[in-house]
Amino acid sequence: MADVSERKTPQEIKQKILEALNSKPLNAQEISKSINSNWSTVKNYVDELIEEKKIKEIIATDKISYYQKITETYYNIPITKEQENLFKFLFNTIIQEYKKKNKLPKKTELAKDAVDVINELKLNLPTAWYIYGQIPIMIPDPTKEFSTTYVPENAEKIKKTITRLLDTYKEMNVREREQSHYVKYGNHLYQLKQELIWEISLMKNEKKVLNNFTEFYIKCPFSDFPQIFDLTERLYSTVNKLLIIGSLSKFKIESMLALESLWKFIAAYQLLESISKIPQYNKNEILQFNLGSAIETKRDCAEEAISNLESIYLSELPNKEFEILEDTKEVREIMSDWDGE
Amino acid sequence: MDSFFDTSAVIHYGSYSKLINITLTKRCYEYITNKNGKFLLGYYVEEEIKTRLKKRRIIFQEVLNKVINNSYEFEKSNFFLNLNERDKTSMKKLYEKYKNNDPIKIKKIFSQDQVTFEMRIEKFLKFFVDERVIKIDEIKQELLSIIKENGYSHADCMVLTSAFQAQEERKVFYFVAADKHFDPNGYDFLKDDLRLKERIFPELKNFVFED
Repeated sequence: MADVSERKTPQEIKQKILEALNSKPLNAQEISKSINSNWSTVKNYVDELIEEKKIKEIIATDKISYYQKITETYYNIPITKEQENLFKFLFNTIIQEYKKKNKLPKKTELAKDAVDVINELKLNLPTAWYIYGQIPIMIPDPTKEFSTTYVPENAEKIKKTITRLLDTYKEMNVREREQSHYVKYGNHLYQLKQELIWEISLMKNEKKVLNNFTEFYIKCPFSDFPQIFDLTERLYSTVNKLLIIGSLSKFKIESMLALESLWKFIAAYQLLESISKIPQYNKNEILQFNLGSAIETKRDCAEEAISNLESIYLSELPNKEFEILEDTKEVREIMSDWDGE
Repeated sequence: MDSFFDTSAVIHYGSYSKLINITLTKRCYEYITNKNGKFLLGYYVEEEIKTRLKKRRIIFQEVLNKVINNSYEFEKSNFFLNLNERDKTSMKKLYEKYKNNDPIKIKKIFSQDQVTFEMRIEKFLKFFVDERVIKIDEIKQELLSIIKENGYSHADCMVLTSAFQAQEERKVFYFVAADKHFDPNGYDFLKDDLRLKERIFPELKNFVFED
C-alpha cells in the first residue's frame, strides 16, 4: 500500500480523513483504505483530529472503534459540503432579513422559515420532523455566525421568498407559528400534541384533556414501535385513573412533565422515520451512529417521568369501589372469561 | 384461615361487575371483598398479574389497530408473539362487535374497561394483600421439578411451589384459585407423590369447582 504521507502534508492528510468521514462514520480499517494508507500512519492524525474536536470516537469495544465527524447538524447527521454551504447561505440570509427589521429570529422562527424556503423552492437540503415540527438537519442557531462566500444560482429567488415569508408571519407569536406550521404541512399528530399540552397546562376541563389525549393516542405510531405503545398507554391510563379519583388537576405539572418527556421520545422516532425517507440516508446507519443512544436516553427519561406519575396515582388511590359504565358492559362480557393464561 | 392467591383468582376478581351476572367472577370478588384472615401473595404471582394486565392492554390495542386499518393482520403485529389462541378469540369477538365504530369512541370504551379493571386489582394489591412472600429467585428448583413431573405447566408450577414454600412454618392456609388446571383430583394426586409426603399442603379453594 502506498503511504499517502509520502506525498501529502499532515494538513492534507487530516483533510482527507475528514472527507472520508463526510458520509458516515468509519472504523480504522475503512479510514485507512479510503485514504490509501496504513493505520499506524493514520492513527496519529486521527488522534490529533479528536484533540481538535473535529471527529469523535463513537463505538469503542475491545475489537473495533468507529470515528464520526463532528458537524453542525442534529446528532452529527452527515450532510454534504454543498448542503452545508447552502444551509449557511440560507440561515445567514434569513438572519440578515430579520436584522433589517431590527430583530433577531428565535430558533423556532429560523427553523420554520428555513423549512418553508426549502420546501417551497425544493432545495436539495435535508429536513425532518422532530420535537417542534419539521427542522433543517443543520442546527439553526440564530446566535451563530453563518456568513459564507458561497452564493447559489437561485440566490435572488431565495431572498425574495424569505422576504415574502417574513412578511406573512410577522404578526404571529411562536405558538401560533408552530400551529400554522403543523397545519400547513398537514401533520395532525403534532397539532394534537400541541392542543393536548395546552389543555393540560390550563387544566380547566379535565374531560377535554382526556378527549384530546384520546385523539392524540389514536394518531400515535404504535404498530411499528411497541415501546411507544407501552409508554403512551401507561401515561394515558394513569391520566385516566387520576381523573377518575379526582386528582388530575392536583398533579397537572407532573402529568405535563410526563407528557413532554413522552413526546420527546416519540419525536425522536419521528426524526428517525422521516430521515430514513431521504434517499441519502440509511436507516440502520442513522440508528446505529446518530440516533440510537438519543432514542434510548429519551425513552429512559419518559419511563422515569411516567413511573413517577404512576407512583403518585398509587399513593392517591383510595379504598373504594370502581365500577364500569353501562356502555362498557359488552366489552366486560366478552373479556369476563379471559384470565390471561 | 389465611389465603395464598393464584393469579387467576385475582384476575377474575378484577373482571367482576355488578352489571354482569357471571358466577366465577362473583365468587372471586365476594371472597376478596369479604376478607377473612391474612392475604398472602407470591412475588411470582404479582409479576404474573402485571404481565397479564399488560397483555390485556395489548389485546385492546390490537383490536383498535384492526379497526383503524382493516388490512392490519394480528399475526404480523409486533405484539402477537406473546398472545395465544384464547387471546386471539377475545380479539376476534371484540373486533366483530366494534369494527364499525369510531376508533376514538372505541378507545374510550376499551380504556374505561381496562382502567376500571386495573384499578380494582391495584386496590387489591394496595389494601388487601398483607404480605408478599417467596421472592422469585428463592423458588426451590427441586420442588418445582417434582410438581412439574405431575403435569403442571411451568407457570402453574412456579405458583404452586411458591405456595408450598410459603406454607412451611405457617398454619394451613387456602390456596385460592379460579383455574381449571388446579382441579381437586390432580391436587390429591400430587399429595400422593411420595417425595412430597412430609409436606403440609395448603387447602385448595378453587372457585371453578365449587357448587
